[in-house]
Amino acid sequence: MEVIKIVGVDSQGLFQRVLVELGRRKINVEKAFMARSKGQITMILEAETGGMNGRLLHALMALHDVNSAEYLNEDYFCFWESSPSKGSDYIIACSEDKDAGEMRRTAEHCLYRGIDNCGKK
Amino acid sequence: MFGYPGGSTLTLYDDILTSNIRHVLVRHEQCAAHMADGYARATGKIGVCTSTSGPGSTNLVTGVATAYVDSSPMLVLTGQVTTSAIGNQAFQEADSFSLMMPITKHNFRILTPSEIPEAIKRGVAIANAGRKGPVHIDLPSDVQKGEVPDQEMSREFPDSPPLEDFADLPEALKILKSAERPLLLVGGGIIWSNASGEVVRLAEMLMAPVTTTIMAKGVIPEDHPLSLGIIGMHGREVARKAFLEADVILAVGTRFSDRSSGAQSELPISTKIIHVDIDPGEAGKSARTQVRMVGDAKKALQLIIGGLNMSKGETAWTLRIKELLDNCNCNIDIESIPILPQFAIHELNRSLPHDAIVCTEVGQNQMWAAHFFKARYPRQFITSGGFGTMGFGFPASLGAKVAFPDRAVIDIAGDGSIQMVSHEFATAVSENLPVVVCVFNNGWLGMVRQWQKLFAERRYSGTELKDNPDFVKLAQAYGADGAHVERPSELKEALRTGLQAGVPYLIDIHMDPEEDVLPMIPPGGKADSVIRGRCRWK
Repeated sequence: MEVIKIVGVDSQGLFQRVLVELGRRKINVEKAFMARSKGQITMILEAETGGMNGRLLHALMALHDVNSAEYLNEDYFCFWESSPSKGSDYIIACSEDKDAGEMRRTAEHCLYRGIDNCGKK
Repeated sequence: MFGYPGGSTLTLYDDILTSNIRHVLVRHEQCAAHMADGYARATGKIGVCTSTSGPGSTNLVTGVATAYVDSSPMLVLTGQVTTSAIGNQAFQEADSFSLMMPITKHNFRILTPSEIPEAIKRGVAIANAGRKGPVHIDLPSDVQKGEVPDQEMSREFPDSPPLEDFADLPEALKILKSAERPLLLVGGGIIWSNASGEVVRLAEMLMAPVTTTIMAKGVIPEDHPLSLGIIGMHGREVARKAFLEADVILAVGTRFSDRSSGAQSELPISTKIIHVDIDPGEAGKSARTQVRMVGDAKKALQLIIGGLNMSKGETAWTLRIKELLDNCNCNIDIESIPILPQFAIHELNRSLPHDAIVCTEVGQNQMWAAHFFKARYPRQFITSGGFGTMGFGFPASLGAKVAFPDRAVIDIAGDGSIQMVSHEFATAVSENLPVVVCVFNNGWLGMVRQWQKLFAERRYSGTELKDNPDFVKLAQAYGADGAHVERPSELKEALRTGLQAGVPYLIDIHMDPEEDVLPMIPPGGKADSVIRGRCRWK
């Protein structure tokens, strides 16, 4: 199982296109997180990529409006708070934050709303 | 612009009346896409096709997919129901945005008029950038009626920088300089990049033979001493043998498809592959690749040529290539009744003007043409290589004829494929597009029959085309003309008449149904399992 982070321009259907691209390569996405913010779209996907390895990232990068695609080697934490009345927010944190206890704290309190704390672009 | 109007494109079509756009009214939307594709392949410029919403857009799908797989640049405009009706299963509503997504490079769903300039400008740029391909724009009918603000019309949208990686160029040069038996394997990327001149120059510099995929046929004149012809399941045996004997393979603009050079398990472990492709998802696809470079084929070849700065004379390898070429020489001037397809192609080689554009359908007719037709120029041979779409060739030939009205344009068809698109004779006549359609008529879906014959103990199922129409009368019913050809001696005159007819012309060539497309490497087979047929190896 691989965890992939994809960041791109927030254009119509990009998330759908990424899923289609993976689907046509027989790659089932087990879990997916997607968030739009400030003209960018960030996706964290968990999928069994089979034998594609590095080539898959190249294929994803070839999609128009995808800026980066990378395998994640560290723990990631995606939190999505959603409410029909209070609006919604999200946080993506990575293991660097875990050492500082941030992941735990965000899980408990969702302190860093709408921020990608991993710092990777 | 090739298209077919409908309720959701009324505004678009009204605007055509006051524009300088030539609109070609097709008889089926699938053919609009094939014509735009044929136009793009013949010219290198983007083709445009349009349909109404719902069934119009679903009819486009096969044509768009055909262009996508062969990396042909196209702008696809579909009408859509009004924005307020989207999602309500309104009359003639289909989710064209999602339907087109897997078969386009990019697509836009326009929801306000101000989005139109960006979609058109960026759409054209995306279709032509990098690995080319179709871009789809879905236009709701109410959006078409709106006014685009002036400031949006004048906005410019910067192009994305090309994806390039030539970091391993020094390693590629080192390998090529020390190569004893270099070979160039080139694909359709060469044609889209207009890099055929660089291919010939590099081949002559290295004295390296060149084999092409079917998509690159004509990149090097096929009578050039370094040309081995096409490689693949129905390719030339000399190409396969040289591919296996080479110590360095420079593969440019090719994706190592399963039908061309997919099986590399036969390559000696010492063979080095340098792979250049504009699509980072394709470059280095072969597990045997030593050097991977990403970028435009023309630029890559110019860098290689500049970096090598050498010239080779005759070597043991060039002598070996000459020997292989001498051993692989099919005699196709065989006059018999019924006519053999090889002879028909031989006659086309003799009779067609040197710059004629030859399109094909898909199946036996395609493979006979690919194997035996001698292409001299890039963009001269137009075929659905990746998607294998029956019914592609005739509409594609009309698209090519729109682009080049003064050149001879031929479609090599089967009796199965022509019946998928014969209604386009109406388009050909009404738009004054006098192409010549050569129907290789053997009364069967020949390629499927061939596989049933060779690999299923002649258990023919669903492949006999009983009660074919009189194709000449069919063409004449549309205002075209034609001739039946049953003897080899009649073909030359029929071609001469067809090329001078001034109207679309169909030549119904009665062929031997027992003749197979050979040589052939059976699926999963290796070079030594080739079925040779009439092509002997000396």
